[in-house]
Amino acid sequence: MLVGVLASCGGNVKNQQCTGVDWDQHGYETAKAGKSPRDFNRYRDGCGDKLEAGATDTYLDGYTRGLVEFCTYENGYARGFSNKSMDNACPVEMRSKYERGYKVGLLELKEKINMLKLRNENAEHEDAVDRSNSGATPQ
Amino acid sequence: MMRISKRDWLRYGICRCVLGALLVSPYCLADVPKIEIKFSAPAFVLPQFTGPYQEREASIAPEEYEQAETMRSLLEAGKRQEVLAALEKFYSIELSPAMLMLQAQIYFSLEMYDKAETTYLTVLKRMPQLIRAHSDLGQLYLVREQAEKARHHFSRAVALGSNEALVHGQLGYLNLTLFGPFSAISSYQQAAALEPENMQWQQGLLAALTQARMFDAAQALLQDMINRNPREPNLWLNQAALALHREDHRRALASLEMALVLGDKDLRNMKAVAQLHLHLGSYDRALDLLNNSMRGQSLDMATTREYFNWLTQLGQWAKVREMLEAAGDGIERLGQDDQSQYYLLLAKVDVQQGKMPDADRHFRKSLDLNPANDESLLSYAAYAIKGKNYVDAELYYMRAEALPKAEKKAQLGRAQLYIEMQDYKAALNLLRSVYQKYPDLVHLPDNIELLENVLRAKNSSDV
Repeated sequence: MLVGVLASCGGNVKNQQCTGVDWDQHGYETAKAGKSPRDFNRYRDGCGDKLEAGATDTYLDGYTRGLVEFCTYENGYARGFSNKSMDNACPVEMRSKYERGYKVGLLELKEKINMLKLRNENAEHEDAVDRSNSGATPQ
Repeated sequence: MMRISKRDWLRYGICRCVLGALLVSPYCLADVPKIEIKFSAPAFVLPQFTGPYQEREASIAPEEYEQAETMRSLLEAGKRQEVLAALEKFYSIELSPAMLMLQAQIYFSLEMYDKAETTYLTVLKRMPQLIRAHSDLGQLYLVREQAEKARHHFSRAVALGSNEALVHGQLGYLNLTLFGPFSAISSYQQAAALEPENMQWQQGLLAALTQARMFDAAQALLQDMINRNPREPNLWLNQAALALHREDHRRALASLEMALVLGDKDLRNMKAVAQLHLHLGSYDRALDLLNNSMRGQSLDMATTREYFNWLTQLGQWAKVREMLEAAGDGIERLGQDDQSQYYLLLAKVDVQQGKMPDADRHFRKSLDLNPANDESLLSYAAYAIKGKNYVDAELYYMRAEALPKAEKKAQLGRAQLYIEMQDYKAALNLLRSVYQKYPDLVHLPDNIELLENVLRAKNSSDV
């Protein structure tokens, strides 16, 4: 009975699965989501010696593969346009396109905000003119 | 666009003229008509480096600047382990390729080769065109004696535009070892072009040219090297080796003599000089050298034996005696077997010069020192036959037959002895027995048949 319970843990330590994970895929998805590679710390620290041999290297291989897809102009643009701070997830050699996208996204966001502000100011101005033309006294 | 000055071209032109003259007739410069060669001015086009070239260099990330400064101070203080500990706190993907290169180089310098290799390969996964990573990894594989892998990475470094002489030189060396001389020549030339003063590349090029049997080019290079370093014995030795390849024995001898004058002490070279002198008939100089080589070190019977064979082949028995007598001073330092060999050689010279009592004394001394000296037993037996001392001859042959190495020769010698003694029956019986044991002696059946005929003729005449 006890043996069965232990076996069902499947190498889990403190609810952390330490074996049988597709580490490559996990790394790939972590990178594609724009998360830090340190996401792996919970396995490394949680599992200790129980961590499957080669897990770190496989995870990093997958993570690097994911970064290639993540560190694009489009993702940088999206992050800039959503006004989030630029993270440093992209390594230096993959960073240039992502950074350019981020800057363009951020710039376009600012322009859009400025446009909106301008439009609001115009609308307010037009309201004020309308009101003065109709003889209404401004409050 | 870059231009070479007129003066440089003039100098180059003169060199070419002299070189041309040397190649045509090395010994008759005065007879060579003056040749004028006019070259058109060369044009050089500098390569245009564009964007992709940046992928061949690694720089650190801006967020690493501060850390890099700290590490620089630590490295200057020789604290490589501390730098390594700091770098190992990161996942490899968190470090820039430049920082990973630093990590790999520290592993390399601390002889942690497996980790260095893994780290270099990680860098190359991220930056496949990083020249420095290819050349460092090539060095690493060279240290680990993985020649094929080393060659691959050096050739990648060169293909990506490495302009380091070391990389070209190492590639030359590996090509020479793995693929033969033709694939090495260009690499060594490149290395020599980048570092013209580095003798290593020139010597590599020389080896490649020689192995490729491009003797004219090799000789021209060597001549240039000798002109620049006339007191370097190795260059003269190289010239001698090259001359031997070309079967130019006089040039080989002159070069070897020059190397000796400049202080080369290698016994093999001294032997080569002596051998060449013997070949060219200057026996006195040869003997001087042989005596010198024997004086300069402890007596070595293998060498003495070698000299003995050279001189006896030329019939120089008096010189052999001189050499042996000169060598005799150190005889007591030899073991008994070697002393036995020495007295055997002396006995052979005595026999040749007709000094029979001395020969007899030296044979006996040789056998006293080593009763199992098969060559002494066989030679003494043959000597005894000459003196018609058949009883002694038979005795020595029988002693020699007990030694497996000498058995066949001793039995044949004894058969010859019986023929000399006209004991044809004994000779026939012995030869039949020898042939049974050594059927490879294809000439024996004829001899056996001859003896059978003699015996038959003798029997019929007796009847």
